[in-house]
Amino acid sequence: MKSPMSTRSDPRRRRRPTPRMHAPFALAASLFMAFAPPAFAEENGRIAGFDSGGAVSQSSGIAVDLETGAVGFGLSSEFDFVVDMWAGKASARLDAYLSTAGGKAAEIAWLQEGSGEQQRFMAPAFDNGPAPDMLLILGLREISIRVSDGPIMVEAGRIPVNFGVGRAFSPADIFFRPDYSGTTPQRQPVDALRVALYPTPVSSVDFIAAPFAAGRGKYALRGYAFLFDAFSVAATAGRAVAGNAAQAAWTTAGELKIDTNTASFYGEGTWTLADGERAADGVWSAMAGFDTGLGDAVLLAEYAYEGSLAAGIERHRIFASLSAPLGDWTNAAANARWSPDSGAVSTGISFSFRDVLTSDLSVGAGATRTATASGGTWSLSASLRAELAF
Amino acid sequence: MKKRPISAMLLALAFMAIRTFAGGSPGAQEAVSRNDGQPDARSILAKLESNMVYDSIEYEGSMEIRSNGKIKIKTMRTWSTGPDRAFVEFTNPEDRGVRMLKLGENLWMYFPSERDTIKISGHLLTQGMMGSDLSYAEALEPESLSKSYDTVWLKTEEALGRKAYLLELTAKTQNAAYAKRRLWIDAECYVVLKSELFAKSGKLLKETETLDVLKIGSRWFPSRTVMRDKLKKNSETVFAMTLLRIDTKIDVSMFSLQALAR
Repeated sequence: MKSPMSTRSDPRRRRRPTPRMHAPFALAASLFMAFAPPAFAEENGRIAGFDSGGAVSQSSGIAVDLETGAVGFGLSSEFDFVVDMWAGKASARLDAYLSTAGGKAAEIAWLQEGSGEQQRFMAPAFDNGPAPDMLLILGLREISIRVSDGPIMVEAGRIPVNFGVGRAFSPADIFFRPDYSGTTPQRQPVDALRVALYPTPVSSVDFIAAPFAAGRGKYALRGYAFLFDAFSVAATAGRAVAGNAAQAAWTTAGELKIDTNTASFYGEGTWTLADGERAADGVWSAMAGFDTGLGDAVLLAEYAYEGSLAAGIERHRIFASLSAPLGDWTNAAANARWSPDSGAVSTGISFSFRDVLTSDLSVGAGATRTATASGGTWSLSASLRAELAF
Repeated sequence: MKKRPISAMLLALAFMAIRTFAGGSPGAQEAVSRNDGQPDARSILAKLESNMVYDSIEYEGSMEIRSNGKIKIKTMRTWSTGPDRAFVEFTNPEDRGVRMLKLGENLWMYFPSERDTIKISGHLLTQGMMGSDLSYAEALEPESLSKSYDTVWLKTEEALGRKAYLLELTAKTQNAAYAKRRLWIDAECYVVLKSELFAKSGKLLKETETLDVLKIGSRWFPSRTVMRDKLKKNSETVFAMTLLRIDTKIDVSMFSLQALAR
């Protein structure tokens, strides 16, 4: 967990890893990236052209399964490259990476590949066998094209959809696919078409069509407004088509965030009803959270509920994080996530050091309790990461 | 178009002193004397603020954050119209594409890698902007100094080798970033040579100095300033403005959440 003293250290930022780009969007975006003219006209204070940058990182880690005593080591390297292009009313963004993983890191990446949640642009085909000793992966975090004209913006490609106000839990974001493997929860981008209208400087209406989202097409319309210098409100209507053994369903959602001088309070509520079901069979979800300052530290806590009265199902989850600067160049962060129903627990602590021999270093350790039929198993992990931006 | 003072974010950067300029506004001395011959604090402050009245301003700049022997440099482009609207885009490698939007007393930050916009509010406002010695609250100070503070002239003395009026400003609104300020204002050019910023308890929190100025038309504008956080050891931030342009045409649509995520 990080602090807002640096742009790369805000605990309220949403983090996201990478799913696979769906072919039609990838092709369209790639063509634009390849052939967009590097115009150099001034528009809204912005000289058209392109910008690029990236980062090189090296990570190593160790994991211990306390039940079996198994110890695993991992090593990975990543080259991340970002290009932004803009010409007139159009712009494009490419965020790609090339990574190598070995040992435990390869095992984890291999399992993610098999889960279908962590899709790559180019990686070895998953075959349910043991992980290769070394994995080479080319991934796309984002590739998108955007055209803006007045208050309207149209965008296509692999894009983040930041609906909702929750950080760890966000039932109002029907595209939300969390990844809790890092010290901060991550959101994965979605292959989608987005049309946005901005009626005022602080309000928007978004329509998102993601026909290929995680094997189940999803569509949503969301209205957002910032009101009275303190309230962020939003309402969403969403539709998920049948797929992944789930029925087609409608979802309605509301969001509210209130900023005060000492804390921000926020919450979401949704109601989902599958086609053909009675209203009483609908599933309710909600989350509530806050963030506040404790001296220089930032505390964030969230609670999420999901339940169906008809089915008698209830699920509760809790997340908390604390981040604090330990000086101008050092930051400490800790978090914990707990699912009381399953008994699963995940905790982590990390220290980040900026500008150490021109790189940013982070050291982390974590303990995880995985729920099993026999009660659960604990594992420990530790990692070291160095990153150099360019 | 009615001329308006530039954003408080820019004023905050500008409240520092001059070392390397000569000359000033002719006839300025007469404008600030009271009937009893003593300088009139309100007139001095009014001249300081009128020195910084533009329809719009646009510049490239940098923040050099120095702390415990380490230096971090952040570069940015900034656009502002009036006191209520400012847009900043960072261009250094670590923060490339990070943007800030100020609309009135509200501040948002946009992070390109997550395409996420967060509002900086409450407890976060007291933190240093992008790790600098300038807080978000200072960047958001809503009104001009003359509206937010009662002002008295203390004396005229030399500051940084220049004749300067020493003014003491006491906050009269809760929105003021500091309970008290002391400003040394150049008696010829009406630029803040240096300033001291105090808490309600009287504790010195920050001090600033102007290191360089630019002459724009007949007016002087602080272009390089240093801010020191007195609660930290060995910490200071040098703000510099280059390629400064005033009264340029800036599309107001730039000051919106849409532009943040463009």
